[in-house]
Amino acid sequence: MHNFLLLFKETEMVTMRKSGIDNTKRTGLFFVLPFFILFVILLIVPLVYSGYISLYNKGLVGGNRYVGFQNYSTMFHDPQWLASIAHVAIYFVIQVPVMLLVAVFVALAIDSGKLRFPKFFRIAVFIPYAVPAIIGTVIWAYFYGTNYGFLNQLLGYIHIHHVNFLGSPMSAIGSISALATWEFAGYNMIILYAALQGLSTELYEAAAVDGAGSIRTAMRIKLPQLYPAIFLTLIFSIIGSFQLFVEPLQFNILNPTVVNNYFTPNVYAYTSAFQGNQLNYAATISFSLGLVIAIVATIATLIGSRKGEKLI
Amino acid sequence: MTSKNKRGVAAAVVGTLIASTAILGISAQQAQAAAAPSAAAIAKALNTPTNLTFWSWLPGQQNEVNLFEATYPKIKVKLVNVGSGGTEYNKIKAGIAAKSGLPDVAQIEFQYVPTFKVLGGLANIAPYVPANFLSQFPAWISAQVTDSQHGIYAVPQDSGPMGLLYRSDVFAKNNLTPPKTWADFAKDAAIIHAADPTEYISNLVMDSGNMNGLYWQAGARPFHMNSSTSINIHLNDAATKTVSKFWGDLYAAGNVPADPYWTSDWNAAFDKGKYVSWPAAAWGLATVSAAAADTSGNWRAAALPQWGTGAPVSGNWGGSTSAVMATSKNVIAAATLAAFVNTNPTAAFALTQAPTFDFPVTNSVLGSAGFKATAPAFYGSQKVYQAYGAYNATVGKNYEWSPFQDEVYTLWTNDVLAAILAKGDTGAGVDKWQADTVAYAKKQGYTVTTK
Repeated sequence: MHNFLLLFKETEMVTMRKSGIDNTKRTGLFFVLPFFILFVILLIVPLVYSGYISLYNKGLVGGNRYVGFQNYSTMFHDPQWLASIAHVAIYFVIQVPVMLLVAVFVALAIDSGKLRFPKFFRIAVFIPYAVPAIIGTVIWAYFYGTNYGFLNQLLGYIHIHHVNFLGSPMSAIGSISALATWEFAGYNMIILYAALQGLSTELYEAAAVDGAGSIRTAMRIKLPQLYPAIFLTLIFSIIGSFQLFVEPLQFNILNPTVVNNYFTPNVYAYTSAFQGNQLNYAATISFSLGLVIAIVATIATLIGSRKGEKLI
Repeated sequence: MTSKNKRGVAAAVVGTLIASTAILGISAQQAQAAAAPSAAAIAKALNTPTNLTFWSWLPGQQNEVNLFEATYPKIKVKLVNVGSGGTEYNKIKAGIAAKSGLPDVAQIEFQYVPTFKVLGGLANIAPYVPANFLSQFPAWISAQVTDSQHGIYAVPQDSGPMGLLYRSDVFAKNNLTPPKTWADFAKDAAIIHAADPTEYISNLVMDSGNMNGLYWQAGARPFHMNSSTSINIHLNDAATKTVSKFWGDLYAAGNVPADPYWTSDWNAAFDKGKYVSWPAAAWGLATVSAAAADTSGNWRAAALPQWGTGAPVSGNWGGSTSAVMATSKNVIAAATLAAFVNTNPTAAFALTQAPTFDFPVTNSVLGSAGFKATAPAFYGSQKVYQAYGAYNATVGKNYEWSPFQDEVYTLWTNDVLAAILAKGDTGAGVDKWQADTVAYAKKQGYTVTTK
């Protein structure tokens, strides 16, 4: 038996030496191919097509004409596009830090071991992410109702009436930020919590011996090691917040002149395409937005890796 | 990587790209103009096993579909609700661009028929229906689904003649009768709100379709196609400015609130008696009875207040059609389905009953005794359909929609409604609406006249 196994192993090793390395690479290729095919079809081809049609203009009359970069020129001078970019920039600056703070705090709290029923809290904080965005916005649209909405009913008890949560662009951004934090804090919390599970516990024991409480341990030991994971969630948040779409689209009905058809770049692209029959302009907005997000995310990654941290 | 592997990878990439461009369907489909088939050919098509898809959001549409399937047992209809209004239209526009994914028949509101016709999405069903098919509708209805070549691009289903739905108890409480003129309406607005600050004569007309119906009543005729490539646009006429200023002044005086339509807040407002009236289309009868159960028995219907002293005039808000899509592979069966669910006497009458409560468009149903006798308890047993039937006869004639009504309404919200809500110059807002619409039409390639 023993001799047979040895013989088997020797044969195996001989075969591997000849074509083993090619075999491994070919196997790897086959594993990646399904994803790669879908990636090209669903992402690369539409992206290239979008860039292609942004160079044309097709009206209801007159057919398809090549216009070069005229659509881009129009866009950069379009006050509505500029307003949409301003809205998502402000939204990014307000919503992302708040949401990440919440996610970090909750992840550290659950990991501290001081919380009763940690599993329940983990699930409870994550559930809003599992709720489809459309349903979430319908629920929050009821919350935000100016006259009979849930929040105004609560405020009525302290004699504050008819607060219009979407009455101006800034309040609309704030209200959407609250909704987005509710939606996504759980998702980011899970990422951070998973990262925390990967940390070695030796340092915690050493800290406990030195007399550090759970808060000190969280701030001085866990948090610094969490920076790579926080950075990852920041990248996701950059990509997500510039693409803000579902929430303003659903809230349009609550205040059509404020949360209007050009409230964010993606809403503007969508309404230009479907209501305005301007598919080329919509492609221009989408393509340039994708480019901007890619550049910002790349810069952020480079800054992060320059700091010497080993990241993704 | 060995060169053999490199070639393999390159082949995979190229193959994927070719496959994906093929999948994306960059193939042109030539539309064949069909000559009118013979009666025998039509009968044969209706006797062949066929599967049709029908997109409609109309509550109760299945009733008419069942009647159709009973009459034509070889044809099976799959009725799907893909969303109402814009939700469905976005899917249709995507389907037209992709040249696939469209149903055989779809519910399309009147104001969007020109839009989809200009995109090439609608089939001309004139060859498949009787020669005098359109004569069964009032002229102003049939005018919206045909063109100068007498093609038929949609079958009218229901319409939205406008009247004033009002709370008779609140009016009586204030010693008022339904206003005969808009000047009376403004006076009553001040009286009602002064008597009870939680009550308003109505909400501000914040919905573009609602306001457009009032412009229609006042005599606005903003669009006319000079030809297939030339359009006349005159949105900033006196009628439109008068109506816009009227509502701007009401809002500025605080006599109407500005609550966005179609929200849970808006429904609750009817129920809690915040709005004492609503200049609404006939289908508004169902909307109010659904939203305001607590006020049952207190609502009545009256004619819209008038601008002038001559014969009464009404406007129209909404109304749908059933249209056959140009990509349908079974045009004869689809045309028969669209015609049947809307004009077969049993089906047409069923549309006016629960749960649909459509306002009919066929002369036969409009004139039938059964329809005129409908007297819902919610409206204090008033014969509301008979009332609306009278307003229907006064809807202003010769109204034409633009081929880009979506964008016109978006621009109205951004230009005119914004001016009203800012308590600013509504006349300037209407002028901006005109300027933006003209600019848009030119960008789409139209030659624009502004008579």
